[in-house]
Amino acid sequence: MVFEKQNQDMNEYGHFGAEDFVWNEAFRRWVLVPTQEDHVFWESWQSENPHKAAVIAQARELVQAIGPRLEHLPESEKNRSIGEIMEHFDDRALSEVSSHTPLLRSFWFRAACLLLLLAGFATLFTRYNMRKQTGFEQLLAAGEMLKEVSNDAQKTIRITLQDGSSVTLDPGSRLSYPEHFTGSKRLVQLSGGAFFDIVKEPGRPFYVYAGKVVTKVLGTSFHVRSFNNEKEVSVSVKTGRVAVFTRENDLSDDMDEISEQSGVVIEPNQQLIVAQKTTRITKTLVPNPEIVAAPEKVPSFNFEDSPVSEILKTLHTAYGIEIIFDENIMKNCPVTATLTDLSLYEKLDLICNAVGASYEVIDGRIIVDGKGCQAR
Amino acid sequence: MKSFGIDHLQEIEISQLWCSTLRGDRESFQKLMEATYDLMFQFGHKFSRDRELIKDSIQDVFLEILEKRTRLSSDIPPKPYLLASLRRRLHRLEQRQRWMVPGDTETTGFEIEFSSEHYLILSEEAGNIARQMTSLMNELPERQKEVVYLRFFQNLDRDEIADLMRIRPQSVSNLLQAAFKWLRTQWKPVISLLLTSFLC
Repeated sequence: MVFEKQNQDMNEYGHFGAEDFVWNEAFRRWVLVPTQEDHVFWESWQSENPHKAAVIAQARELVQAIGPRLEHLPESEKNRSIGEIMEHFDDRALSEVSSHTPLLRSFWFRAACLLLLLAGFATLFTRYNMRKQTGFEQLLAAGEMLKEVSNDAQKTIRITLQDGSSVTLDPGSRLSYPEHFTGSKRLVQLSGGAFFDIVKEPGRPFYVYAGKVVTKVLGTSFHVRSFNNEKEVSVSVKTGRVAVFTRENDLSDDMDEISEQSGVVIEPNQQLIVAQKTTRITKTLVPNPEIVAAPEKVPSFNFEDSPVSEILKTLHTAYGIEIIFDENIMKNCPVTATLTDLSLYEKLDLICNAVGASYEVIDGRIIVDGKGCQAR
Repeated sequence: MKSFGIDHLQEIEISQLWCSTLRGDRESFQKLMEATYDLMFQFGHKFSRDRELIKDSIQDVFLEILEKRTRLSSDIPPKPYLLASLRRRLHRLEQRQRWMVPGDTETTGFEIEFSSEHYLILSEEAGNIARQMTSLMNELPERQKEVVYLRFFQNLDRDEIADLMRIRPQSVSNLLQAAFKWLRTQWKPVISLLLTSFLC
């Protein structure tokens, strides 16, 4: 069981307790030596299973904490031992000077070593290819012919891709895309801004390369803005979920550090801003969040003596944005208000004013802070 | 972040050092030792309490690599190779010692203690669970412990572990399965105990 490839179905983890996660290889790898894919997988799993947050946090801590007791070995002791071995090496090297290896063998040996080295790099590159600044053409599957559309007009133009997806290209923007998608990935390159409405194709994700930012989606609609002369690249989601990565110019940077930061998942009404220069990512909300609930499921915004906690939950359902607040404090504040034609921020302002609370947008979520109103 | 084994980036680096060491490069040889010495010492300590014996054995392992370097393949994964050589050498020395000093069986088998104490930022609740888990892990039979250690804390695969412990790959799976079966059955009572203590 432990050696079976642990390609667990996402649902299977649903029954996992902290101690099950501790022994799950995929989970351990994410905690100890994560790859980009691990981040994407677990972040999206977490956002689908928010009730598991505490279990995950605990399991992470356990994986980091539990290990074999280490025997203390002072650095000086270690260096002394290595020094002794090196003396032996030098003795041997002296006695070997006269004997030389035939050129041919050494050539093949070098060749073999070079191959091994290349193989090592190859694994490295495949693991981290999302971050590598590769020529976009090299990423395409063999036989995919690139087509390029520039929008020099004053209004947006609409492009329909071979898979049925549509791209609305902003003025002054350029899109490169293959006429036929033949590989296991659908790749396009964007310079400028565009709104993407992507047809879902299971097993064939869609990637948008824009400067140092790569956006990966399965099927969804979202907007990317990446103009060369702007300091920031932004990605915002209308429906579905997308994962955003950053690419580096060179691989010499500390990769573990980069992989910790990149591969961020965003959801409807969330927006990612990536600084072009530093590839620093900030998660926030779109300037004017829209209602994402299906029309027949949009709740009423007329409240009569409703606890603030209930109003905040209604807003969460309507906008799909996580709202964090203290249930105990907010459940005792009845509010009567009609919020129907207001924007999300206007709604929040009104409610917060009514109960003397305040809110902030942090990391794409809304945090409401207040003292409650028991005293009233 | 501190991890117990070596991550895959380090592993690639070690493979490259291994390769150039076999070519006879002095600097790579030294770097290879620097990169793997701690790992080997910790592993050796699981078989013997005698620090000098462990250090001598590590020295022997590296000198043997120098001696055999033209015959060693650069395809051999270095970490399992180093650990297996050290294990063999310690066993050999142990047997010799036993033969020379009858009755002295201080160096026996594989001893390991799992703990969570070196990790300081544990929440109280996670701390309790960690203590329960490690004390259960410490109760495992010796060989099951060794397999769990090699699999989860050294990231060796089944065949590498089988090679190292000189058992069949199937036996590795069996040992792991037995370990987890036992951990699971023991864990259930612990969980319900924890739960009831929360509810009360």
